Amino acid sequence: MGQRVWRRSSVFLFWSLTMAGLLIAAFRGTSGISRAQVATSIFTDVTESAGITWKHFNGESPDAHLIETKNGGAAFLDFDQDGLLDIFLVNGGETPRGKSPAPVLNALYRNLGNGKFEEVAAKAGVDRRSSYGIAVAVGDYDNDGYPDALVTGYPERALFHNNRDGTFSEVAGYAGLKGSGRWSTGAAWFDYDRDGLLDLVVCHYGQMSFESAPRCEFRGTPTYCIPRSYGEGAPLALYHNNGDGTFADVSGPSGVAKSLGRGLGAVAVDVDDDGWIDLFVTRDGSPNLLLMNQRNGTFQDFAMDAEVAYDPNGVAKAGMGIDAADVNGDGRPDFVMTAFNSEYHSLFVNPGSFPFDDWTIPSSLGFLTMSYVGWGAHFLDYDNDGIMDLLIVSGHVNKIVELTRSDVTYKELPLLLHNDGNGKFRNMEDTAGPPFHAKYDARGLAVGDYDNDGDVDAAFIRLQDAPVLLRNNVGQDHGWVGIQLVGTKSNRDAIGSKLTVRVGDRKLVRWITGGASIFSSHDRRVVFGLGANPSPPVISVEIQWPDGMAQTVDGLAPGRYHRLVEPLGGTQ
Amino acid sequence: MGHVISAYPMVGEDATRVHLLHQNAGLHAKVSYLTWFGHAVIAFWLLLPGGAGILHAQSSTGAEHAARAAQLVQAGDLKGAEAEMRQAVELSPKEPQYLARLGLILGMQRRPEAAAESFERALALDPNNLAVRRNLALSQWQMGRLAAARENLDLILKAEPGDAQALLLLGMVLIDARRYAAALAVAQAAAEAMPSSYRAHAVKALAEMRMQRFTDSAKSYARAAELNPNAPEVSVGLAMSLWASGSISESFATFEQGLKRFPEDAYHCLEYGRLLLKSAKPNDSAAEARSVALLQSALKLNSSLSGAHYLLGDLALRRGNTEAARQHLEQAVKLDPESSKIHFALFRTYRRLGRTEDAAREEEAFQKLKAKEEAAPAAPLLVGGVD
Repeated sequence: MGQRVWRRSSVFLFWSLTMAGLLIAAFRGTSGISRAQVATSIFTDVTESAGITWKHFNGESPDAHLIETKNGGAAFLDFDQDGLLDIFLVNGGETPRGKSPAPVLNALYRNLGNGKFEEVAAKAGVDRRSSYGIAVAVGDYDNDGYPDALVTGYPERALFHNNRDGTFSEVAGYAGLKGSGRWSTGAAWFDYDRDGLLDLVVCHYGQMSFESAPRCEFRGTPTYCIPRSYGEGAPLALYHNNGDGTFADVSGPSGVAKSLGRGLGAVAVDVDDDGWIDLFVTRDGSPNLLLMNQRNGTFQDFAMDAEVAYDPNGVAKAGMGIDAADVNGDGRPDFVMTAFNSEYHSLFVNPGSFPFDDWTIPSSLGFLTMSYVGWGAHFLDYDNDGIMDLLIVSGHVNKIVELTRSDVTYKELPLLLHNDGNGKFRNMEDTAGPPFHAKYDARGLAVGDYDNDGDVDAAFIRLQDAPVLLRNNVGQDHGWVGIQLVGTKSNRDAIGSKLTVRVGDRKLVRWITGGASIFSSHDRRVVFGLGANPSPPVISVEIQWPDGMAQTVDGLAPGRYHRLVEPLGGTQ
Repeated sequence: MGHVISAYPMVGEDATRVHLLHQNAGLHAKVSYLTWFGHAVIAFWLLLPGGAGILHAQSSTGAEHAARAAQLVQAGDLKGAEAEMRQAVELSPKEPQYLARLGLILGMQRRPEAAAESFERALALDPNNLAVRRNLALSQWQMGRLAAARENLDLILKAEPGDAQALLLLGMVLIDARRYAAALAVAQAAAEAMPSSYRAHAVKALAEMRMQRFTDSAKSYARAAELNPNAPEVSVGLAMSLWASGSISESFATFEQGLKRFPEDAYHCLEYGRLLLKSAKPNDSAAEARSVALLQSALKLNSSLSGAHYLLGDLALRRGNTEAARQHLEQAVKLDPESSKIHFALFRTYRRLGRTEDAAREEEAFQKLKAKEEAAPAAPLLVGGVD
């Protein structure tokens, strides 16, 4: 691949977030819940104590427009670059017969660093928009160090450009990303041509009209119709970043628009380890796409070859959430995909060639998810044992489901699934905490370490209700090291990077992905759990940057975050 | 004579087997109707006025040929009966009753196309004969000519709005046409008109199953089972609807009872094996072994069950036993060439065997069938993977 290997024997260009430890101490002292109180709970619901009161509105109506069920994005982002992750929440919207008594607004919660958040969406200029909102994709598309945010929806998208002063400007029209008239859903930023600028892929669901939507009923009660009722779907859109704040629609020439389908989620990751970022796109009752980067600006779909397009019965599942991580320790990205009840969520293990191995059944994921309609899903090493576990949030779309079967409920439990290291999962319901004994109608799920304590927290949207912010209480029981990559030649978010840390005889591989989960964006920092053994005094990390350069950084101290900037000038 | 066939066979419930199953319901139901068709015809011939008395006349009149045909039907010689009945028709070409009887014999031979032709000729001579029209509709349904069947049933119901048998058949036609809401309404009407008909409740249950009203379906099947505990198809339907409604242990208990009560019923083995596999925890080797044994039993009882071949092939594929998978799946696709999942599994099998051309052919067949499935009508979004 002609990659330059760049190695340095001592720590280079890292900026330790030394404040992190102080912040942690402060945080624990003021959060109102002592560590002893939560000793048996892996996660605690801290929404209320954090001051998060915003409520989602989806325009639920007797017309049962399917869009009412497919929305609700959440993002962790540090919009003001103060070192603390803030939270952006995308609201749905009104429908012709689903009106809100109050304006339907997005929320931006600024992290005050003491466990509290302050709602600043109006001040920041991201609260209002005219469209029905669905998802958020955060990315620093102009490489200025401040995250920008694309909000998808119908009938238009919004691109909130970060003004670096705590405010945003809506520039979708100027940027060429408005997508007027289209029902856009999941989106992901990634640099497919390795020019150092984030490009954008946007999923579309299908034809949308509030006036002529299909109608279904159950015992006379209006219900949401199956996806097929909305036609065969719509193509993906791929936008190439021109580097001047505008984008060129390259959907056709890139080959991503070849297949129609009801797209919902996307994750961008280098599937075949060739240094070029690929795409896994989930679709609702349409075959999924595995778009392999051909390194010439085009993509080719290998989903049939990989056997991820359909389930083993040839059924195109209701593909929704998607994420990539190494679940079996072989250093390759594997995929989880959430689906409808009775379908099982899928786990595809990447053996380094096609087809992938379908581990849905042997991993226990099938058995554990049979009754669930899964939405957001994200791998996370919640206990920092070095193995990627799985968090899934769920909720049915039709309230009347409980009239027709006893094993599926409208609101559903979140699932925290512990990975035994070999890709076999176990439900942690007994110790996960009270939020995992409560049922929600959940949608978008975002993960991020909002309190900078080295364990990954999470937030998810609930339809027609307040979101849930989950604080991780156990990650610190194990050693960890956090890495924030800053691209220079590569895109500044370093999306597409691969990071490897060796702990004893274990090799931990992580990727900075684009997209992931559903409708949501995540902390770009990577936390490596170092396990129960005493942490080594220093850690080395091997980095493969998105532009292809390889680098090894030694001497990283555990128990804190390190900011590693991509070297500009080749070998040092 | 003209209206002797008005004893529409569907009322002979003891002779009827309607497999009202969730999967392949249409196919199973049609096979069962054919079984019933045969019984009904035998009953019909026995009831012919003076039937047995003229069996030995050995004359060459149409009536005598018809009588000999009746005797041959009783003896199980359908080919001979057909020949005799054709003679009768040739001698008395204007006698609609003979044409109708010929149609019944052809139907017994599972030749619905030829049967329909005879019924149509009979109707041309006697257009008001509702019984013949019902039988024509039945043949058309068996052939998948759903619109034509429906048209005939509508004519019957226009003349006799309370014709419960026509309603019941219309329910099955509508289920096959995926017009489940209409099917349920019709089946409901049939159940009200024939409250003691287990079949009416079973058709209602099937419509409810297709509409994903699983708890309702389980109740309707339970009622059908009360009315006729000797109907294996109802026992299977009840077990399946219980499983779909989330009552897994009750479902499996029903299957176990069904296995004891109907040891010769292949569908109990097939569906129980399928659902045991689907419900099994990972590495539950006991459940898997039981499933395999059940599926193999199903094939011993009825080697034409594509579903059993498919499941055994799919399991072999999962276990990496590609050759065994190929054998089962090739059998399955011969039996059910319209199943997209079988073509998909064969595509995957051939790929693993390096048979790229065969794989490409199977992939193409799969994609064509999937495209057809996309054209399905709107339905409530309750269960994933529902076609």
